[in-house]
Amino acid sequence: MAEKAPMIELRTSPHVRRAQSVDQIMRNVVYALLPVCAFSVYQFGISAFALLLIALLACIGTEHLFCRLSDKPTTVGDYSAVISGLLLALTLPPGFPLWMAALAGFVGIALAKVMFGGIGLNVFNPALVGRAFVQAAFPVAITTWTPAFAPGRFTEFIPSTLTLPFTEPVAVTQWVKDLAVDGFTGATPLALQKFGNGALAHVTTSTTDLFMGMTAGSAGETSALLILVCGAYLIFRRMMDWRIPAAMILGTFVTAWGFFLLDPSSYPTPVFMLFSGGLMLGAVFMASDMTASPVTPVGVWIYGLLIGFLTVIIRLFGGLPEGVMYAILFGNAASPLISVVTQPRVYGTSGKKRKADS
Amino acid sequence: MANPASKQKPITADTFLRGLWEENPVFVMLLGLCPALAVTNSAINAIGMGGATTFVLLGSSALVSLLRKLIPKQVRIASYIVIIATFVTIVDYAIHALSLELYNALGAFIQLIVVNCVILGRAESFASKHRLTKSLVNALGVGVGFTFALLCLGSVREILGSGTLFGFPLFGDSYQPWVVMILPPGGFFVTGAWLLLFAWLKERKQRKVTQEKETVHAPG
Amino acid sequence: MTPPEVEKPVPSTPSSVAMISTLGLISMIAGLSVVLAFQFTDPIIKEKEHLALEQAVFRVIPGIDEERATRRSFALSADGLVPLHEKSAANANLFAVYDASGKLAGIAMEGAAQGYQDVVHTLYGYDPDCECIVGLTIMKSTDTPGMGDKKTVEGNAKFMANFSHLSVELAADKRSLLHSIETVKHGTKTQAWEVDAISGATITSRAIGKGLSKSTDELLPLISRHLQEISKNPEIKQKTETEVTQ
Repeated sequence: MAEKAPMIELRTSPHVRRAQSVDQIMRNVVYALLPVCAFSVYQFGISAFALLLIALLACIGTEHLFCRLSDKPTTVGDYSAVISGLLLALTLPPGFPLWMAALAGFVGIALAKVMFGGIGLNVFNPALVGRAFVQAAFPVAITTWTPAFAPGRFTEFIPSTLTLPFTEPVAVTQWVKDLAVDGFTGATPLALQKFGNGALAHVTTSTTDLFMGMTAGSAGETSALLILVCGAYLIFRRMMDWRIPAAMILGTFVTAWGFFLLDPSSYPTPVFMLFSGGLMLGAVFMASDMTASPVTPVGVWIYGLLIGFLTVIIRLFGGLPEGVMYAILFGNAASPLISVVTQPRVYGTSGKKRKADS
Repeated sequence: MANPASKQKPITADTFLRGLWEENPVFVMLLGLCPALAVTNSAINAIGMGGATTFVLLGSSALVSLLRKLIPKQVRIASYIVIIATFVTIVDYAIHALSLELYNALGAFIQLIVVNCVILGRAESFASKHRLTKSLVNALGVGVGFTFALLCLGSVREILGSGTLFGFPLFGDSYQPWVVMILPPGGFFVTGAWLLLFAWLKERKQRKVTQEKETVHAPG
Repeated sequence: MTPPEVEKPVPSTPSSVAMISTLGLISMIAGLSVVLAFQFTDPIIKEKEHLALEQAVFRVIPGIDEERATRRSFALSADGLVPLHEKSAANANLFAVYDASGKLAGIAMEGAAQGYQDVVHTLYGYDPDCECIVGLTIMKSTDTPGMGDKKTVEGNAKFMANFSHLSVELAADKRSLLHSIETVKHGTKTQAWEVDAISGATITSRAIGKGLSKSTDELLPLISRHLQEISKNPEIKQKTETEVTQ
């Protein structure tokens, strides 16, 4: 039995095109992310651009460094570190100090990806692990929001962006005051809904604004429309499992709707839940991370619904206004188990196999 | 029980150093991780915990070693636990009396020394088979090794997490502390980083040894 | 197959007397040393805890000369007011502070409510004359360091200023508070009974405010009923008497 069995590759027709390779898929995800990045730069100016650039460089640099340390050929070329870098930057507040962003990139790649053995072996989404780390390390900086569409955003940085490494971020309160953007309270719509006084707070942000991304928030988590369009491109090219975002959105909607029906005066509408915060970005680009999600069709539905459900629960009852990040990390952790439980029946075997055995 | 006492090897530097470095309870044997992760959010806490554990180690090793011929094999674990618990209670009172602040910071983890497997391990595998002085030297080595490991964790976590060492500010007012480092996850991160460093050092040393062997063998 | 089994000696079980006597001996040694340690450290521990509580109590009543002020502990509940001896002060929920002349300077009470990580324990000073809270200290908070821990909260001068004159006026019938303490979002305090939260540590601020409002709602109406009793300071009287006799 020492001989190698001959390999026969079976494919269904048409036999014209090759199957997609990993870096091909990854490259297309990057293409799909570019419009989102461009919009965030348009929205928040050069601070967002610097943030994207630094997070990108940190992720690529970390991956390259660890490949060299372990005497392996560098894996930077497969574009997965690029995606992690862009996604990480998109989840951070636009005025986030650059040195903290670089740290987040380093921790995300080193801790969540390289330590597990690189691409294809990571249990958690590296970008989210990086973000979770800085969320725990710098709780104040990561909840300091600046208004979108500030007048001088293409010529000057948000003051906190250029903070010297290892020092406290420069206070932005005065800067925000000088801008005098009407009605800006330093809080995202979600934070307003959670910590604002009275149940009417969530009504103040119109759904259209949320949908188009005209509100304060993380660099890339504000325009639901754009993200959906980019996601549709990936689904159209069959580079993403459409079930994951669909299941996650469905899970969020149903859970939020349930609470809304229970008590409309104290719980926000399901539509608000869908279009606020990082839910769209999370559903389309993060939960769908190929290596950290289940592989079985049923498992994918369970995975998406679970994340959607958890997101609403964390948002409504947790200590933080935003729950997408932790919900996805939790889903990542559960996905191997989901895969095991939902193994499809092997063709030709009976579903009641155990009975026959005994 | 015929020949042990007379045939014991003499105390060497190794008796002490083994626990300190080669068999370091935290970094090599991965024992006693509960206090190592839980209370090392500052260097002072680390030293307090290490000191308390060392005291319990010394006391219990001495008593177990003295009574080793008296304790029947069947009830030895029960006896060791009672002895260890005694010293834990004493050290609990002592820390409470010495410093309220340290006592509050260490919390329930002083009492939990009683289930620290480092101590029971020493009693079972060393003190119950060796003479008093040798047991004491060995216990001291393990205790110092444990304290050293805790201090390694505690100082890194305190420097990053609050920008201070032993309560003295290191970086000035504008330093941004990494809050996560003094929270429980920080304990895991720092422990992991130290383990990585130790494993890397060990591997490099081994590689050097094999290389030397090869170079020696090659001409011959 | 059988020879090796025969060769093995069956381990002999020592008599139970030996086992029991060994365990007894060890327990005796253990008990003796624990009792000795307790005897030796107990007074020191009591002294230190007493001192720590004393300092905290005096800290929340401003304008007190710690050297000459005195303190009495009470257990106050709907059933009535019970003066407590120093030794059972652990059950006290009320600490009355008297200035050098023996006049009631303020009352310290404890507040507790669920914070971000765990219950936040506070001690606050109440001045019955102005019917307001005059001081606050955090006894225990495990909330996020750098945001809601003791050092950060107490270092926030703007937040602590809330508690230098926080109105807890009683309603006319003295059965409830006119306005319960309320925690409002940072920068929106308009009323004397509102607590202006720390921006970025809203949850901890709310826990502190909630602990205060729970405690004041329950205890202040009771205090107003027993104020006469609390105001009297028998210790001072005794002291002056002994001074006279000497």
